[in-house]
Amino acid sequence: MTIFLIRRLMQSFVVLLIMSLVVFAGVYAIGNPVDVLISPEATELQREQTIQQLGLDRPMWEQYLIFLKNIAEGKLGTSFVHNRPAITLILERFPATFELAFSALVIAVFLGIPLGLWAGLRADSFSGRSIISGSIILFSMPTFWVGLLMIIAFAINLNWLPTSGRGEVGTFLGIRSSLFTIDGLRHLVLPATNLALYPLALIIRLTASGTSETMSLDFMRSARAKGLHAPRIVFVHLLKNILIPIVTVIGLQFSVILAFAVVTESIFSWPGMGRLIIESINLLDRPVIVAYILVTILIFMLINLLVDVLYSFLDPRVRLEKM
Amino acid sequence: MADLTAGDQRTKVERPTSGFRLFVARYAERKLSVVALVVLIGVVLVAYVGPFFTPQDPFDLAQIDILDNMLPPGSESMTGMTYWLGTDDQGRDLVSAIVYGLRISLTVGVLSGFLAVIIGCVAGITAAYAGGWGERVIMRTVDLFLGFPSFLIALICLAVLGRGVDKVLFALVLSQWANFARVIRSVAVIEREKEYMSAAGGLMLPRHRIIFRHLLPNCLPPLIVVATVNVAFSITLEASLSFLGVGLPVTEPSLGLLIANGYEYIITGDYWLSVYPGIALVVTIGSINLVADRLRDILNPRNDQ
Repeated sequence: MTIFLIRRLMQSFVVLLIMSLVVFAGVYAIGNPVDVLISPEATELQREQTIQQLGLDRPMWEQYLIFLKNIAEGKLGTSFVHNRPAITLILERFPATFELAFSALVIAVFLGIPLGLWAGLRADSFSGRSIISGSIILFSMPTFWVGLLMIIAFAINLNWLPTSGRGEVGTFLGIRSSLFTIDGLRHLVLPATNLALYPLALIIRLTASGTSETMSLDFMRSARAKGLHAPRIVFVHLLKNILIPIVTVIGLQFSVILAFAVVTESIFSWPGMGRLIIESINLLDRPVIVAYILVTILIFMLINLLVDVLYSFLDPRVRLEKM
Repeated sequence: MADLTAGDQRTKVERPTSGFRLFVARYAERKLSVVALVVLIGVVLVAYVGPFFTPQDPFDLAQIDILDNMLPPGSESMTGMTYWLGTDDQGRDLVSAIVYGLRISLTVGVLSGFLAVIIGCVAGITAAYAGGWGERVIMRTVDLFLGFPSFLIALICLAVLGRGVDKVLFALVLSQWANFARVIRSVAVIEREKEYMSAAGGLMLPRHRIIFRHLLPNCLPPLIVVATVNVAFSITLEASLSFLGVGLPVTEPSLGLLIANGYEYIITGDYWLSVYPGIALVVTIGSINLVADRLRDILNPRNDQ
């Protein structure tokens, strides 16, 4: 286990190095880094200082080393627009994005698994088939458009829920989140549901197909022959066997949700990282873009690592050392 | 992906009817899939033939009347023409805008899908054929790309490069080629061990002939399925990126951009600008997905008995 972790961490480190090289090349390929990284409105003195700090007057390879050193120290430049360190800007926004993605995942899992089980167990009934067709339709609906429809229906026509912002933020056990206030929850419902739709469809399909495949296996028949109650068969024997692929997909879906949060945040004006990056791209706030890219890559590699570790706990057949 | 390849070792049973007829007959077994195919053909026709018949050319400023702006669906124009789906803030007929937008969306989706297939094929077959060190390098790169959601790859790419048709194409290809490479490689690795491949090798056929005439045709069925699904996905991706304002430029108004244009007006209740282009998008993506679903059922060798 330890060996596996060390090896995976080393791999992740190599990937980060490669990525930093790509991002570095990207920043330098677009144009003069002095224009890319220093605000056009900066004074001559500020220019000189930044050139010094980023080492833009040195040879290329040395600049890359300085770039790496700055990454390690968390110095990723200063936002042109907000005039604050890019990395602080991003880290400040991260809790909002995480809260949104987490809520979406919870919705998708707690709706998706029961619905999928139902559809798998009652595959021929009207309700079962409706659930499956519904999930196929969900697959074909672009998230952002459904988000617009939700705003039109629930916020504008029915006037039930607010359309934008994060609402009031409460503190509980030292964690600040919209989940702890009524107003915050009201703001969270629409974006979280919107973001949950795609993983919901996926989890429904996966659970349903796993259920109907597993139900026809021999051990399920013997469970029934032993006279076990239906709930025990479903929740112990069945669920244990179909959970592994579902958990893997949930883990991987979390990164997809985080990525697509960019879209949902923009529609619902949710003050997260995603909205920040879109604003920064439109305003050409490049230090923030570079910082965002590096931070997200780091986050995604951590998630991938966690999924692998979780997978090995759930399925003893997977020998991590061999991966 | 595993289900595309797992049952492939089984030898195919030759049926009396010709391959294509059988394929058509099996496709037609399910009514919904036939409907989806008809709808898809309709969508393609509307996108490529439709622009000749639309009431307006949304790019031609001479045909647009700014006085007709923001008319609800069904209104009449100053010249007596009916705007069936209303007009936008510049007085453009929404029907025409959707038809032109559909053409842009479809073209970008299909083109990027096609390019990604080619690159993925080259990478996947090279990996399977080269083996050893070369295979490891290619597959590591593929894993690296698959470790990140394609939306994120495309977004990062466009964040660095800026807006533009060529840049969107590049971003879409970059975010999807790894999928194809993995599928093709996993199929090719199985095919490579089969007897016909050693027979072809034994005949001392030139390498390009073995790859193009023997290996590639046998890798085709799963590739077709993945390619179809990915075209639908490309269209969604492009629409989402353009909606966010980081995708296509304003001069190429795809469906995503049309929806984005309408976004600022939905608060005031002018819903049509966002809703109708979205319906066109959903119909397109939905019909492609349904066709792909049926293709997967037919082409999957596990269901072939």
